Amino acid sequence: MKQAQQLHLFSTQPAIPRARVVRVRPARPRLQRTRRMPLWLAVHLPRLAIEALHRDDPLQPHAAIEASRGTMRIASMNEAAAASGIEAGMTLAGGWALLPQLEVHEREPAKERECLYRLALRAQRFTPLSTLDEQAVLLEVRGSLALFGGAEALLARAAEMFTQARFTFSLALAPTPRAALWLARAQRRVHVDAPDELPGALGDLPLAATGFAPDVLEHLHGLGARRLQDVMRLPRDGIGRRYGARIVRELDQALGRLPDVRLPVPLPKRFSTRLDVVHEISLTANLLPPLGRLLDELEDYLAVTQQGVRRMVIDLVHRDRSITPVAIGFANATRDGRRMRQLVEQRLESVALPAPVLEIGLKVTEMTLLAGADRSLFQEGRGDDRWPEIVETLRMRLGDDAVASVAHVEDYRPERAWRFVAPGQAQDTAGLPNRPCWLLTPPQPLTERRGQPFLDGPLRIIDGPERIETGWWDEADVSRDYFSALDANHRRLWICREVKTGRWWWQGVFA
Amino acid sequence: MGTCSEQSVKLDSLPGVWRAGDRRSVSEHGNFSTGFKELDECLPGGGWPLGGLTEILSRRNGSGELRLLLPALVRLSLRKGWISWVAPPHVPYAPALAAQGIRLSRMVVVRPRSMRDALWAAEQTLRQGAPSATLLWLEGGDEKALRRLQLAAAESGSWGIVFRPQQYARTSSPSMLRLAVDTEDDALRVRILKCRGGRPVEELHLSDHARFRARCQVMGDDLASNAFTNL
Repeated sequence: MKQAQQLHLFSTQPAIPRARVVRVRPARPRLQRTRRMPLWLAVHLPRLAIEALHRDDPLQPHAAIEASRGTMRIASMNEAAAASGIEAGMTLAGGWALLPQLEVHEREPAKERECLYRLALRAQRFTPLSTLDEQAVLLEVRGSLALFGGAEALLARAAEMFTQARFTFSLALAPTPRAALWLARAQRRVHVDAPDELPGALGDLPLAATGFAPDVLEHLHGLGARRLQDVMRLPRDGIGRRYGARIVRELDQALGRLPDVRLPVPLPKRFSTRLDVVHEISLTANLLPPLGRLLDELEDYLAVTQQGVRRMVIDLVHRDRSITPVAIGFANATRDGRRMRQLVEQRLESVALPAPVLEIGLKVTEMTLLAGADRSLFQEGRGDDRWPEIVETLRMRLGDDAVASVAHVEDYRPERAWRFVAPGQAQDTAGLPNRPCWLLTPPQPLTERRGQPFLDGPLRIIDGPERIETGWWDEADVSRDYFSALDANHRRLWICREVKTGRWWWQGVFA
Repeated sequence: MGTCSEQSVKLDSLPGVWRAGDRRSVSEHGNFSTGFKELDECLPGGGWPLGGLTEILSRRNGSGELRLLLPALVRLSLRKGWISWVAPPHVPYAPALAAQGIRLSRMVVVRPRSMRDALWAAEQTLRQGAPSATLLWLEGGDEKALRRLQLAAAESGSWGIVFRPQQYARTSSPSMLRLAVDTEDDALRVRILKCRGGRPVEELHLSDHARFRARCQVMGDDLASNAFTNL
C-alpha cells in the first residue's frame, strides 16, 4: 500500500517536457539535454551571513546577528565562535553570557547578495550557466567536465576558488540543481551522476537540508519525519494540501521530475569593485599588487561579457574618506589584462598621493562590445594592432591635447581651413591646391621696403595674387591677396597682403 | 671551397646581414622608393631604408625637407601606414597635405613640451611596425638619444626620419642614412653625407620634373605621367 502510494506520488507525474526546456534556453549547454543530462555543482556557503561582513580575522570569535522573534539573535558565526559553543538562533544576550569577547555585526542581506553575486560572476569561468540560490552558487558543469579534466578536478578547482575568496563552503554534484543544493547543504560531498540514483542519495538527507519553512519542518518533525525518504512516503496530495504545492514541486524538481529552469546570473551593466588594503599604502608602486587583483576581476568580467573597457576610474580612498580619483582612458577598447596593467602602471607614475591609501576602488565608466577576437591576437601586436596602445601611451604622458590628427575644414579663410581632431579621426579629403605644407599660427607680420615684402632680405614674388575674400557674415571677415615668394634662403613662403590696410603677413611655408 | 661558398650563401640569406658594396641587402626591413629616380639610384636598396633612422639636415625649416619626403609619405599613407609628426616646427597644414595625396586619417601630430618628451614620444611611435613613419624635429639631440631611436626603429621595422639643423653634419650619428637638403631656384639639392651600405654623394639635383613624375607613379596615374612626358 505504501509502495503504491509512493509510486502514485512520484511516478504518475508526466515526464518532463524536455522540448520546452530546450526552447527556454536555446543557446545554453542545456540544449544538449536531450542527449545528456545536466550536472549541477552546488556550492553552499553556510556562514555567508557573517563572512559577507567579516572574514579576515579567523582567530577572533565573530557573529552576525539579526532581530527575530522580538529579540536579537545569532544568525551566523565564524569557526572561532562556533568552537566556543555559539550557535545560530541563540539570543545575543545568551551568546555574550557564553562568550563575552564575541564581536557582533548586524546582518546585512544586501552585502550577502553582493557576495554571492560576485562569486557567481567569478564562477562563470567554469561555465556560462552560473546562478544563485539561497546562500549558494549553482553551476551547470556537464559541458565543462572535459575541459577541466573530470568531475574531481573541477571540484578541486572550484574549491580552490572559494578557498581563495576565504569562504566556508560545501560542494556537491547532482543532475538537478535542487538535489545538488540539498546535498551541499547537508554537507555531503557527493557526486550523483545519474537521475535514477537521486531518490537513494536524497532519501537519506535530514529534512533541514531542504530549506523548507521552519513551521513546515516543525510540523513534519511532529509527524515523525526525520529524513527526506520519510516525506517521500507521505501521500502526495496530502502534502500539497497541508504544506502547499511548493513543497511537492520542490521535491519533484529535486528528483528531476519537474523542470527546474535556472537562468544565469545577469551580468552587471557596470563594473565596479573595491578592495580594502591590509596596510596603508603611501607609495604608488605599492598600489600595483592590489590593483592587479582588481584588474584580474575586471579582465574576467570583460571576457565573460565580451566587452572592452574604454574608460575607467581608480578611486584611491584615504583615511579621512577623501578620494584621489585616477581616470584612465583607452584609445581603443581593450580587455587585455597586460595592456590594462601597463597603462595603469604608467598612469600611476604621475599620481602624487596626498595621504596614505586605505581602500582602492575600480569602476568602469565606459565600455563597449568587443566581439570575439582572440585575445592572443591582441597580445601578438601584429602591425596595426599596436597603434591604439601607442597613442594611449602618448596621451597618457603628454596629455590628450598633445596628440591629435589634423583635419581639413571647409572654410575659405586659410587659418580656419583646418583643425585638430582626435587621433585618427580626420577625414580624407582632396585638399586644396596651392597651399603650403606648413602653416604659421599665428601669421607673422612682415615689413615692407620699397613696396616689397621683406624678411631678412627682400622676398621675391613668384606666384600670385590669389584673392581670398570671405567671412563678411561673421566678425572675422577677410580680404587678402596671397602670393608665393622666395626668401633669401630660397625657401618658398606663402605671404599675403591685406587689401584694406596693405599690410603684409607671412602665413606659411611650402616645404 | 664548396663549404665556403655555401656559407656565404647562408650569410646572405640571413636577415640583418649585409655585405659592403652590396646594394640589395642593406636594410632587413626593405626599402621604400623615394619617388625621385636620381635619388633612388644613389641609395642602396633603391630607396629610403626602413627599420632605421634617416637623418635630414637643413639650414632652416622649409628648405625642401618635406618635398623630399612627400612622395614616400603619400605612398605610405595609401598603404595605411601611420605617419607621426613629432614636435613639428609649424602646424602641418591639412588642406595642403591632403592635396599632395596624404591620407589625413593616417596622420598624427604629437606636440611634446620638451625635447626629452619629444625623444620619448618618437621612441614610442617607432614601436609601431612597418609600414609606418615617424618624423621628428630636433634642435639638438645627442648621439645616445639617436641610438635609442635607431634601435627602436630597427626592432619594429618602422621608418624614422629626424630633422636637425645643418651644423650637426659634422657630429657622428647612428643613423642609417644622413642627407643634407637645400633648395635652389625651386629645385632640391641633396647631399648624401652617410649611407650604410652605400657611399656619400656630393650633390644631387632633384627637379620638380622628377617629383611630378614620381607623384604620378605614386598615384598610379599613368595618364598624368604620359601627359607630362608629352609636354
